[in-house]
Amino acid sequence: MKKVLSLILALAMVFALAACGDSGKDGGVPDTIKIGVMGTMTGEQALDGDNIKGAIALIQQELDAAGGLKVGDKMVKVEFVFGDTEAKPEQAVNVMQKFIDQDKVVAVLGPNNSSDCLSSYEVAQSKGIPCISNCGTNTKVTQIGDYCFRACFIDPYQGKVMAQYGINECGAKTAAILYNNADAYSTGLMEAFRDSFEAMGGTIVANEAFAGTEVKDYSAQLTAIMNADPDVFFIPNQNNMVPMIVQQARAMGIDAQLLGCDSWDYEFLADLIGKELCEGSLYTSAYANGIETAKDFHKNFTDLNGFEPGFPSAMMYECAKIVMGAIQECQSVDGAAIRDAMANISIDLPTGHLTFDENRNPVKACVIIELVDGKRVYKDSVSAE
Amino acid sequence: MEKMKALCKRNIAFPIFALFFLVVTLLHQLGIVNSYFMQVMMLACIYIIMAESLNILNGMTGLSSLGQAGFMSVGAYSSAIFTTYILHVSSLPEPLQVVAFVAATLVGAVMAAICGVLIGIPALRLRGDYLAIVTLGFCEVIRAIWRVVPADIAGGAFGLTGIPKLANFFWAFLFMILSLYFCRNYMDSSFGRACLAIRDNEIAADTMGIDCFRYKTIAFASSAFIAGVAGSLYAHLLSYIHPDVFSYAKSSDFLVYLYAGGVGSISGAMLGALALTVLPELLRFLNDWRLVIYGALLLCIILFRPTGLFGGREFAFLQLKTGGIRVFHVSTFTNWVKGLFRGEKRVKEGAGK
Amino acid sequence: MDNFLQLLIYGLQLGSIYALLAIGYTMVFGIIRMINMAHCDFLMMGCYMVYFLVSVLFGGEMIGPAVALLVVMAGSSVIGMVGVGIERVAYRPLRNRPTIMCMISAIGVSIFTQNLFRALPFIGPNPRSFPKLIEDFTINVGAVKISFTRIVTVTLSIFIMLLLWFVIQNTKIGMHMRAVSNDKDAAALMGVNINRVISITFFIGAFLAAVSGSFYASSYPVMQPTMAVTLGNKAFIAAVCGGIGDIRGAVLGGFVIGVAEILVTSVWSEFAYGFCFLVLVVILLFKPEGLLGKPMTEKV
Repeated sequence: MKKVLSLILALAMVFALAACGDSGKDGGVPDTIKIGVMGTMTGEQALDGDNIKGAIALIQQELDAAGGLKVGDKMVKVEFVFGDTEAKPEQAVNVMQKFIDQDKVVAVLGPNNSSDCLSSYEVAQSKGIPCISNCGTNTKVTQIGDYCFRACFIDPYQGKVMAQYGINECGAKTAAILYNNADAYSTGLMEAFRDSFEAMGGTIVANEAFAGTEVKDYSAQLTAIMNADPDVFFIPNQNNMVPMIVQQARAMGIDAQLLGCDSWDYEFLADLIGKELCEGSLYTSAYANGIETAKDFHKNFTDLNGFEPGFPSAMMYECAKIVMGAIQECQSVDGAAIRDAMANISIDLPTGHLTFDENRNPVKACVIIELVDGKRVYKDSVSAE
Repeated sequence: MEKMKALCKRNIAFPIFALFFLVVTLLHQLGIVNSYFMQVMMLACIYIIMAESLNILNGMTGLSSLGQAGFMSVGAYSSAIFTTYILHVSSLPEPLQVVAFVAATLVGAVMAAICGVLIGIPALRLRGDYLAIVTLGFCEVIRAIWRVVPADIAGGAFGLTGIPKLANFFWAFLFMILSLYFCRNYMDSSFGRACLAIRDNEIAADTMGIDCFRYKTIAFASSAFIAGVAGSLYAHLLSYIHPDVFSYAKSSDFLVYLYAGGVGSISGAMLGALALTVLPELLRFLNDWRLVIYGALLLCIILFRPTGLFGGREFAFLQLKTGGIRVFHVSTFTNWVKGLFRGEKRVKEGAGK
Repeated sequence: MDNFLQLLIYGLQLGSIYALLAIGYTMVFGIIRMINMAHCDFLMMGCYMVYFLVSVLFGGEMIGPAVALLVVMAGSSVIGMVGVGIERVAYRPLRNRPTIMCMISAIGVSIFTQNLFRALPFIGPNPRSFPKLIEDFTINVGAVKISFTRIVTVTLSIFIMLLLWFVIQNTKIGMHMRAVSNDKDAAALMGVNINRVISITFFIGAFLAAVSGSFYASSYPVMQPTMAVTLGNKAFIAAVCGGIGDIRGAVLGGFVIGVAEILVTSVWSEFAYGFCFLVLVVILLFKPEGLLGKPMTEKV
C-alpha cells in the first residue's frame, strides 16, 4: 500500500495540473473578462507588490461603484487575477503561461521588474496577448514585440533627465555614481547618466560598483567617492539598498547633493534613511503628489490603502486604465484589437495625458521630486532634450 | 520473432516513453492540456536532469556538491552564446536551427564538463562538508564572473536576452530520458560500481585498488556534463538568462529535490524533482502563503520520510543491477489494483524481486 | 597610507559582524557536524524580536545602552529558545541519518521561516528601519574615522569569543560539549546527556545569532525577512576559512574575510563579491582544515 502511495501521489499531482478547466471564446465581449496582474508579491522587491495590490484595489473599488466596465452599451465585470513572480524570470514565465492558458486573461498588467518582463513577454508576444509593464524601465522590454507596452519612461530617458537637471539646476561639474553591477536596472541608469553627464561637459570622478543585493557594506566604494569629492552623487539602486548607501555615505562625511531614480519613490524611504540625512535629495519619478491632475487619485488611494501611492502604484493604476480604456475603445477582447487600440490610445490619466510612440513607450515628462523634511515634494517637470 | 519479443520485453520502457510523449503532445494539440501545463512539464524535465546530475555526485559517489547551479550556468551561457552570437541561429533555416541547438547543447555540456574537471581536481583534496563549501564557493565565483564579463558577450548585469527559443517539450523530454539512461548505465558500469564503493567506504575502496581520485574526477565531469545539458535547455526554453538565476538558492533547490525524492536512487531523483516542481505551481492559489506551505510540506517529507519519497527504490523499467535498495515493479501496482477489485489484501508475491 | 588604514578599519568593522555570526555556525558544526543553513534566520528573527520589543516597550525611542543591552539579551534569549525548539522538531529526528539530511531539513526550515515572516501581516515583506539602540558617533584618530558602534561590535565579538572559550575549556558543560564533539556515542556511554548538550549548543548558537543580528542591524539598519541569507553564507565561509569547529578560528576567519573583501572592493569593486569566495577556495586548497583547524584523521 505505502509503496504505491508515493507514486500515485506524484501522478495525481501531475494530472491535477492538467485537469484545470477550459472555457471557449465566443464573439463579442463576454460578461466577465479577466485581466492578469503580475508582480513581485514576495521576495526582495515585495514592496512593489504591495503597491501594485493597492492600485488594483482602487481600480476594483471604482469598478464596483460603477457596476462594472462600460463596453459599448454593456456593463462588463472585470476580474483581476494576481500572480507572483518572486523577482525570478522563470516564475514570471510560469505565471504568464498560467494567465494565458488557465485564467484566459485578455491582457496582462505588470510585472514591475524588467528582468521578469524580458523573460515573460516573449510568451505573451507569441500568444498575442497585450501586456503593459508598470515599472519595466529597461529599453529592451518593449522591443520584444508589438504586444509589449509600458506605462513608465525608459532608463536612458530617466538617466538623461537626471544628468541634465544636475548640470543645469544644481550647477554640478563633477559627479560620482554607486551602482549595482548585478542589476540591469541599476547598470542601465548608470550608463545613461554617465554618457549624458559627460556629453554635457561634466566629469564622472568616481564610478563605483557593488555586486548584488547581498552586499550591505559600501565603505570601500564610498571611500573612493569621498576622496573624489563630487558635486553630485547619483545612486541608481533598488529601494531596499538606498537607505544603507545614504546612511553610510553621510556617516562617512560625503555631503554631495544626492540624486536618485524612480525606485526612490516610496513613502517611507525618508524615514528608513533618516529625515535629516536625505534632506534636499532629488530624484526622478513619473508620479508626484503635487501634480494637479493626480489629486483625486492620490486621495482615493491613500483613503483605501492607508499608505500613499508611489511610482509603482500610480503606474499600475495607469496600466489598468490604459487597458480598460483600450477595451472600451475597440469593444472586443481579441488580443490584436486591444493591442491596436492601446497603440492608438489617447487618454487622460493621473499624471497627465498619455499617448504611445511607435516603440510603445509613453510620451510623457519626468517629474523631479525633492525630499523636504521627510516628505516628497513635487519640484519640477522636465523633459529631456 | 522470439528474439523480437525478448527485445521488446527487455526494453519495455521505450515504447512506454514514446507513448507517454505522444499522448501528452496529442492532448496538447487537442487543447485538453494547456501550454502552462507544458511549460511546467518542460521545467520539470530540466530539473529532473539537474537532480540526476546531482545524484551522480551526492548519491552515487558520496561527494556533496552545493554548487550545481554553477555548472548549469556554464552550460546555459556557453550554449546561448554559441547559438546567439556565434551561429546567429535566428537567421538560419528551420532544420539547421535544430542541428545548431543540439550542437549548442553539446558545446554547453562539454564546457560544463571541462569546468567540472577544473573545479574537481583541486576540490577533491577536500572531503565531506569542506568539499560542499568549496563547490558553493566555486558556484558563486562563476556567478561573479558572468557579471563582469562585458555586456556584448554575455549580457553582464542585463542578462543574456534574445536567445532563440529552440527547446520544446520534445527536446526537454528526450534529453531527460537520455540523461536518465546515462545515469542508469553509469551506475551499472564499472565506473558506477567504483563510485558506489567509494561512497560506502573510501578507504576500503582505495585498499581494493580503486583509483579514488580518478573516479571522483570522472564523477565530477559526468555530473557537470549533464548539468550543462540542463543549462542549455533552460537557456533555450526561457530565452533569457541572468547570472542571479544560477545562485546558491538554485543549487539548494536541486539538493532539496534530490533528497526529498531519495538520494542514491535514479527514480527517486526523478520523482523528487517532478513532485517539487509541480507542487509550488499547484499551491499558486494560496498567494502569499504559497511558499510557507511549500516549506512546511518539504519539512514533512524530510522528517517523515527521511529516505525520500521513493525511499531509495528504483523503477523496474530501468533494469538496474546495482544500487537501488528494492525494485518497484509494475506488477506491484497491477496486483494492488487487482487486489482492490477482488476486495482482498495486496498479493504478496508481487512485492518485488 | 591613511586611505589604507581607513580601509583596514572598515574591513575590521565588517569582519567583526562576520566573526560574531561565524561563532554560532562553528559551535553548531563543532558539536553535531551539521551545516545549519537556518542560522541566518535566527539572525533575522533576532532583529525582528528586538525591533518589536523596542517599539512595544519604548515606542521606538532611543534607549540608554544599559536598557538596550537588557532588551537585546531578552530578545535573543527568546530566539535561543526558538532555536532549541527548531532543533527538537526538525533536526533531532534526523540525528542518526547522514548529516546532510539535517542540512536539507535546515533549508526547509529556512524557506518556511522566511516566507512565514513575509506572509505574517504584522511583519510583511517591507523593509523596516531598525531602531537606534545606542547613539552612534564617529571618533577621529588622525585622518582615520572609526564608528563607535563598530568598536562595540569588535570588542563584543572578542569578548564573546573569550567567554565561550572559557566556558568550553573550564566548565562541566563545556567538557560535555567537547566530549560530544569528539565522539557522540562514547560520550553517551560515559553518561553525558547528549540531548541536553545539543539543546544547549543550539540555544547558544541561536542566541549568538540573534545578538549579532542586533549589532548587524545597528550598523546596517534596514530589516527584511531575507536580509541575512548571503550574510549567513559569508559568515559560514569565514568559519570554514578559520577552521570550523574552533571558536578562535571563526573570529580570525571573520576578520580575514572582512578585510579581504573591503580591500578588494577598493581595487576592483565589480568582482569583490566573488573574491570573498575565491579567498575561501584558495585557503581550503592550501590548508584543507582551515587556518587554525587541526588536520583531520579519518577513522577506519
